Amino acid sequence: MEVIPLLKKLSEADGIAGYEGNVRDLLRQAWQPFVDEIREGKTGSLIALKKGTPPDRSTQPSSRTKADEPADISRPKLMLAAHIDEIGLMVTGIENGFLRITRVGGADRRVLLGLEVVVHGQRDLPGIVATRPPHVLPEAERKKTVPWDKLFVDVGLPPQEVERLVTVGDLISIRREMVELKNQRVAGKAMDDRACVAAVTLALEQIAGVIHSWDVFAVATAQEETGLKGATTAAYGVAPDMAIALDVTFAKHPGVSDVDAFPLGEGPTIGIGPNFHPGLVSRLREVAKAHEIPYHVEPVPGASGTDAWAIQVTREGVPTALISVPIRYMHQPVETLAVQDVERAGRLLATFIAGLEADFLQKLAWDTTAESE
Amino acid sequence: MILKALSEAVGVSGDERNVRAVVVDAIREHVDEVKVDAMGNVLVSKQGSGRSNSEQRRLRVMLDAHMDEVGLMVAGHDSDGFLRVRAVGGIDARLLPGTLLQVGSDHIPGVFGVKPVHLLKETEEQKISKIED
Repeated sequence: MEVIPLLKKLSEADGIAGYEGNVRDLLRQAWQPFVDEIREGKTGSLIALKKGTPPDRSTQPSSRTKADEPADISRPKLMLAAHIDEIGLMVTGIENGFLRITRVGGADRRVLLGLEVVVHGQRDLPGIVATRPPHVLPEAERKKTVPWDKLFVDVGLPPQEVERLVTVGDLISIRREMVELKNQRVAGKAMDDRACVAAVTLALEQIAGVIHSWDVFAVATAQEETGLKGATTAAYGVAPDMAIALDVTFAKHPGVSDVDAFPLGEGPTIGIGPNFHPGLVSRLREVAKAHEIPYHVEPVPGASGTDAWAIQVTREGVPTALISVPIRYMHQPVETLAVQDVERAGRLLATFIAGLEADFLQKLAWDTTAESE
Repeated sequence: MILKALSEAVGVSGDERNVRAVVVDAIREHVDEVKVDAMGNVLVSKQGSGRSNSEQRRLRVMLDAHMDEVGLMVAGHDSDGFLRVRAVGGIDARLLPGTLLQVGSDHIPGVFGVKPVHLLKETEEQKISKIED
């Protein structure tokens, strides 16, 4: 599958937290050829199952079809999670045809001014985010970020028309076509976290024709930006034995300290810290090394702020890991990434899954002996 | 639509070449004379039909609209390849973060990014980044 067109389609689709329908439809189509089952979760996640190969078939491929499978075969379950929701805006009031706005998720008001948007009213209306021009502002205000109450959206219609077509509570998406920069870098509005959705899609494609012993549940989670909600409910439903969440992390650029960020184009990061199971982390690192996939280790001393945080404490607890794709300018409409980092994240997942032995879970048992001196 | 062509043409003060091309193209057939002066202004004239007596030429009216726009200039780059920029004209620094840019005469696509909101200190969200940063 071509990665750049996939990233373009995913990044340009509208899917504000809680309203991810468009992205879900797109993915249902993209994933269909590679998986055995697809269903929708009640909070809006898309949950796809690619069944593992039963032990007897992995050694001697026979003509048996999946329908002949004995019902009692239970394979361990791996859950992959990447969120499909994005941040956006919502209408809070209408004044003389101008729309007052607030944010859904962590939208950054510093980047809103002059932005093209789509107001999801009775029908979709193109609009722009505006404020008073600098010429008429007192000096002090010109140097400050525009406060929410001075920002508005203009759709160009007369007030009566606006009142007819737009209602308080309507959503507003950011409109931004993906741009190909030089050097296999692309910039788009929703690379957080569609870049990782693309990585999961690539992994599903790669394992489609491969024998693997675990059942793989690929979950496109909803409502991550507003509280990890899709991952919380999907993990409860899937009840995985092990999970890998995928999200974006900060890439280095001016203004960001080296401690917070990772280089673009040097592979994904593998999270390390209390949110993650050390045994699973070690395995991911071994797989990356064995397949010559470059990566960095990302120290996460506490809450990762990702789906991994919710999945880890689902039911009785799930050994969880986090793979992250570095992006620059997070939550700005120019989220920039290196295409090969997405490919590498996909390949890391696929090779990890292909090499996963049926009894890997036993190997994750915590050590009960004291550290040797 | 002429507005689209004019609005999307790049013409930062001092290098209005692309706008000039749009203007000249659009106007050539409708006027008597087209000139570009030393400043880069486009001057066109359309003769009136009023009678001019031999001593006095016809009265002239001048219409004026500027075709330059505000923009940025590359002032240097750092060792990681990020460009440092300065303002050309009164560009509104409040609206730069998150914008798409075209750099140089080859119109190389670029983006204007700032520090992610997650990594900001409380007071920093209030501040507009100086263009110099």
